[in-house]
Amino acid sequence: MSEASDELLMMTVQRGQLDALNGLVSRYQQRVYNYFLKSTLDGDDSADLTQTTFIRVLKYRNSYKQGSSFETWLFQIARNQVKDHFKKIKVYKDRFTTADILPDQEDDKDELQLEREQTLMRAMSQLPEDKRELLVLSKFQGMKYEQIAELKDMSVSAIKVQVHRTIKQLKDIYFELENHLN
Amino acid sequence: MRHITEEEIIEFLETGALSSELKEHLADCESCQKLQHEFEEVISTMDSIGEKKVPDMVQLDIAQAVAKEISKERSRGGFQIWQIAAAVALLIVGFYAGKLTTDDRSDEIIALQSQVDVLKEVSMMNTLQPSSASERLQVVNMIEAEKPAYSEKLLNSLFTTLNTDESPNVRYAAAQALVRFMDQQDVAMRMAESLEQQTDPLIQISLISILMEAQEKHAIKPLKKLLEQDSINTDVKKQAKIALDIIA
Repeated sequence: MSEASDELLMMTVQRGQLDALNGLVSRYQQRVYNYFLKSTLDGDDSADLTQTTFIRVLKYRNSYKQGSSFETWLFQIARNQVKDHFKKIKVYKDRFTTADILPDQEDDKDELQLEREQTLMRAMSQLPEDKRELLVLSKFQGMKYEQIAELKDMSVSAIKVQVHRTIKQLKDIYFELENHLN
Repeated sequence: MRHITEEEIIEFLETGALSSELKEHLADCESCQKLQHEFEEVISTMDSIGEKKVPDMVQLDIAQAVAKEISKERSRGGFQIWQIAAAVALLIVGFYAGKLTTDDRSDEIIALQSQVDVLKEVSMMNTLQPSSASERLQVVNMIEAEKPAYSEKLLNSLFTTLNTDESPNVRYAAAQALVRFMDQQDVAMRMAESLEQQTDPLIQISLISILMEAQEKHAIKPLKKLLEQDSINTDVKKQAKIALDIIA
C-alpha cells in the first residue's frame, strides 16, 4: 500500500477521521519544532508552539482548501504563532544556549565546524525577527522562493532580494563575531 | 574590470550563474575570492546545521495534547447523536425495567426488542432526510458506531447517501458505514458502480481500498475508466493501479 500524501491525510481529517492527524504530526513535528527553535531560539517555547500548531490544524481543519499544499498551510499557521509569540514577549531574551538550538553533537563533526555553527546561530539571533524568518524558511527548512512568496503573499523576486540582503547582513554579523572571538 | 558584487556572488553560490567575464575576473582577483570564501563559509555553515531531534518528552506531550483535543472535538460534534442515543437508551431501560417486574414472556420480549431496533433505525433514517450536512454526517457516523442489523432499507439509504448526498463528508462516512455489509449480496457490486459516480479523491480512494480488499471483479471496469482520466488525482491513480494489479 502506497503512503498517502499529506493533502490526502488532511482531507481525511476534514472528513472527521481525526486520528489521521497523528500521521501528519509524525511527519511534520520535527520540521515544525526546528522551525520554531531557529525562529524563537528557545527550546521550551518551541515545544509549546509545536503543540499549539497541531492543535490549530485540528481546530481550523475546515479552513484548509482541498488541492492546496498542506505544507504551506501548516507553515502559515506556524508563522502566525511566531508572530503572536513575539508580540507576547515583552523582553526579548538575547541570551540563549546554542545547545538548545543545535542538533546533538555528531562524533564526526570537527571542533572548527561546531564553532562555526555556534557563531552562525549567534549571528542569526542578532537579525531582526522577520529577516531571521526568511533564512529559517529558505535555508533551514529548504523552501523554494516560490513557496515563501506564497506564504508571505509577496512576489518571488521581492523574496529573493530580501533573502540575499539578509545573507549579506548575516555574513557581516558572523565575521564581526568571529573576529571578536579570535 | 569591475569587482563582483555581493549580490552576484550569492547568486553564483546559489545557482552557479556567473558570466564568463566575471568568472575570469574571479580567478585572478584576491579580494573577490576572499568575499566568495566568506559567503561560502556562511552559506555552507547554514547548510551543515541539521535538525535537532524532537526530545522524547516533547513528542509525548504533543501526542497527548493532540489526543486530548481529538477527543474534545469528537464530544463537541455529538449532540444530535446523543439525543437519539439517549432516547433509545431510555426505551431500552424502560423495557428491561418492565421485564424485571413481569413474568418471563419470551415472545413479547423478542417483539419489543425488535420494536426498539426498528425505532432506532427509523429515527436514524428520518434524520438522513433533508437536514444540515453536519446532522446527516452525525447520523451516518452513528450508523457506523451503533452497528444496527442489516436491512434492505438501511442499505438502500446508505447507497443513496453515498451516491447522491451533496456533502462529500457525508458520502465518505456512508462509504465507511457500508464496509460492514460487504458480505451481503450485491453490496460490493453496487460499490463498484458507485466508484464510477464519485469525483472526490478521498471517496474514490476509500472505495478502491474497500473493493481491493474484497477482490471485487466488478471493480475492474471502473478502475480502468478512472486510470484513463487525465485529471485523475495522483493518490487516486496510485491506489487504482495497485488495486487493478491485485484484482485483475
